[in-house]
Amino acid sequence: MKKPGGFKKPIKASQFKKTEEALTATAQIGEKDLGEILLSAELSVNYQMLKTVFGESSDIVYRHFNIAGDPNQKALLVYVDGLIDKASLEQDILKSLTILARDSGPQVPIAKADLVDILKDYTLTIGEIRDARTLGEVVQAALMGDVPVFVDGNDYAVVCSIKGWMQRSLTEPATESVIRGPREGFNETIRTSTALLRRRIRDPRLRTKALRLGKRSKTDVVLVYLDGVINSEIVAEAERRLSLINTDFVLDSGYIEQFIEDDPWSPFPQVQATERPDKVAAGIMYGRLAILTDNSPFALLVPTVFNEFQQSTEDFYERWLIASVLRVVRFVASLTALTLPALYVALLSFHPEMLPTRLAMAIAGARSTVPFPVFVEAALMEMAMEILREAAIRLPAPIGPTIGIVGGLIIGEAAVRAGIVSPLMVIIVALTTIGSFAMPSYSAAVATRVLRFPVMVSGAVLGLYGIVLFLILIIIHMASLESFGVPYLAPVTPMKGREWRDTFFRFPLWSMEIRPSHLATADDRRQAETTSAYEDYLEGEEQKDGKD
Amino acid sequence: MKDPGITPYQFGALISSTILATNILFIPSYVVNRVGEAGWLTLFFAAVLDVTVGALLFYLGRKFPEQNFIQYSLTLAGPLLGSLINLIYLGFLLLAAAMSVRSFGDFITENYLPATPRSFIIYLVVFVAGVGANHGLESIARAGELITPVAVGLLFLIFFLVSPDITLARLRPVTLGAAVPALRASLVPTALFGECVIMAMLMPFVQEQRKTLLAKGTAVAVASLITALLVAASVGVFGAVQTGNFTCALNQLTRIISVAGFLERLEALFMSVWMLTAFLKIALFLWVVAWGLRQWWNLSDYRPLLLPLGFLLAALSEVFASNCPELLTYLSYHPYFALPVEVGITSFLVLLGWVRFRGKGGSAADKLAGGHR
Repeated sequence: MKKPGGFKKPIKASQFKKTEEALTATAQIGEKDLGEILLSAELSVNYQMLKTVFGESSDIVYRHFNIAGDPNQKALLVYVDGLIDKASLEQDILKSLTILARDSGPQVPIAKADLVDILKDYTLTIGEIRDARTLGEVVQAALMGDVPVFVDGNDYAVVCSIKGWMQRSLTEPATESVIRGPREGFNETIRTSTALLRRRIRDPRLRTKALRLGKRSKTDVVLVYLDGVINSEIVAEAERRLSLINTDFVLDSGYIEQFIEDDPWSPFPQVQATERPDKVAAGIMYGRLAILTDNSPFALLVPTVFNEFQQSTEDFYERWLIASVLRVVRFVASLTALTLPALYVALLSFHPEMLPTRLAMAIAGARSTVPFPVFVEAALMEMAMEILREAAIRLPAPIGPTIGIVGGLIIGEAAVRAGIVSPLMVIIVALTTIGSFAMPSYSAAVATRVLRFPVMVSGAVLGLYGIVLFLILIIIHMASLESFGVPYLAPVTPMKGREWRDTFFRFPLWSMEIRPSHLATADDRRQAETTSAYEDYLEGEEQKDGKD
Repeated sequence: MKDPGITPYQFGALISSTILATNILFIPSYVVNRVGEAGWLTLFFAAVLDVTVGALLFYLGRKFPEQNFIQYSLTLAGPLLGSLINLIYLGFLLLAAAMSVRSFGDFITENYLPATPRSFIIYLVVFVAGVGANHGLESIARAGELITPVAVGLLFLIFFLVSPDITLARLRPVTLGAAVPALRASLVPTALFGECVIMAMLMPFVQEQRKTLLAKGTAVAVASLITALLVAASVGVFGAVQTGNFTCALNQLTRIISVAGFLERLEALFMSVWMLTAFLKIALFLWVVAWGLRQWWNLSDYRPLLLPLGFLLAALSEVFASNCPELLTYLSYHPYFALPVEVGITSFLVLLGWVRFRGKGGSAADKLAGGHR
């Protein structure tokens, strides 16, 4: 782009002149893949190529300098402003190369051609460093927050990794809060996430396999698993599915989930997404695979069975009794969320004889002013509730409580006073809504929330018969689902009696000796038979009895 | 990771559900009507006879561990006779399923939704069963594993809840004289139990084939035990005469349940049990017929067959009887049609198998392959 009449700044001809070489080099940029274009030994050529690749970008910074004050040793570094640690850039690269290199120079003869190697070995005080020989590598490095350093006379660049950008501090995940347990959650930087996992699993066999997804976004994705525990088929299958993703950008792990799930048409989530490092670490220890995505605090865990959506990490931090009771409560709650309005509709419109007489009278009395059939009443209220729920998420924080009160008052109190809905209906809707929040997993709760409406319709059309029929449909669908080859309803079906220790109830930790068999782990034993003081005591008693 | 096939437990669950689905509806009233107080006895005769047939099929299944009924009948009886046997066998299964669908329609329309057209109910249940069959045997088996314990548990719950109303004196007299009519009347339950000849179609898929017979025996035992208990319970509650006059005694039985004067009229419990097991049975039979046809005709997939089969099933169940009493009347003649298929053909094949592949060790298929080489 040429601005007519614009002032052209004079440049030093020796330094920035577009030589023949530079012209031919820049010409191939549009044609060839960047990864195939080799860097030149001529600094100005490299500079021109970079200029062409990046075009007019205000946040790309080029910095020319001379090494160790030698006017003949020209060098250039390029970085994206905002993605690097500026203090480190100034201290460890620029200061080292320009000033410190003068007197702490190496005691070896220096030729121009191997200057970069010398600098790397003696001068640059950076931990992570690597070479880049093609334009593609250099450009990618700069875009990821690394700093390529070019030295005139050398046909490759040194990439110094001094990434540093603003990131959110580690806060407690809003959707998965616990009463007891760690309060850290992942944040949007993938390195932080892997570090959080490393802090929990100090096993050298913890693997963090990196790959990049998205043609343009080039999002970092890391597969984390415990080698020697996980079934290698799961890793292979995950890699196969990830390699099939050929999209232009990946903004969140949710993108990946939708590309790799087994049945995209199912209402049930087949991949577990969580912000909690402890949950992910536990999954990895059990022999599952975690997929971390850069720019997303949500890690994905595969394979996933339905049971896992009903579990909270807290179950394992609390004692077994309270955890077991809570699990039962959760199952009841999710069943309530799914069927309660439908049952109400079906009982009232098809099977009033099943209600106890007094209850039937009470309901009839309460409904005497309601002008709608019970199904319409239920559908209206459920819709209102859904609207309230959705609005509540998007409400600006200061007016949230106001709307909550107004919504509650209008929907609850006023509608009942006006005789549009019966008070019983309000109770039903409230129970249903609260029930769906009792499920620890939001995505699984959404499934019940969505399925509630068809169940309600079938209850309204065919009564209990319709509800049972629809539940059968849901069961057969869930029975046919699989997540990475694992039956979705495992370990309930196919039944593994021993593993029921961690389904509807949570047995004491010392009794959970093996990993879930549906994961077919390479190492299925988690702990030895005797791992608690209690079991030790029992064995001692047995031996005593033997002696007597 | 997943195991191919179904576990013996899943197999047993499917067999149990198949038996319960046909049994709990009409059988209690029928046997009490014929035998009186000792009606529950018939179920044990039926169970014993059925396990015998199961043993015969087990023998055949072990002879041909990789093959199902459709395949080894062709091997044993030759292409012509074998095809005839297959036709009869699959046709019988389809008719059995149609009878279930029809009972389903009649039961629901008469007891719960009198204003709903029966065809609607029938098409709906066939659709749901078709969806199940479309998902394949593994899914049906997993659903069965989940559903059957619930159904059995609910039946025990019903028994438990009515037990305060049982007057044991009504169960007497049990005399030796009841044995002969009981034996004769047990033909009908036997014919219905005998629908478990689908076992022959499932055996190649069972993971630990040796345990098939055990699973089958346990399943039959559980199903007949719970049915016998409920027959005895309804005699104990209503007396033999009244039980015999009901269409569906167990449905009446659930009506009298009263828990603390609060939980009453729990027919829904019974209906759910019946629907859950009937769904399993119909889905399983649809799958078996489709799968059998697929193998008989060497097709690459069985799924496209489900739509025509579903319509055929719905239509068959519509014309099966013109009304419920006719269905009941047919029931007493059912053995003369069913037993020759269930016992006759099976024994014939076993005989053929015994004659043609006598000797110890090794499966018949191995020997056959060896003979050809």
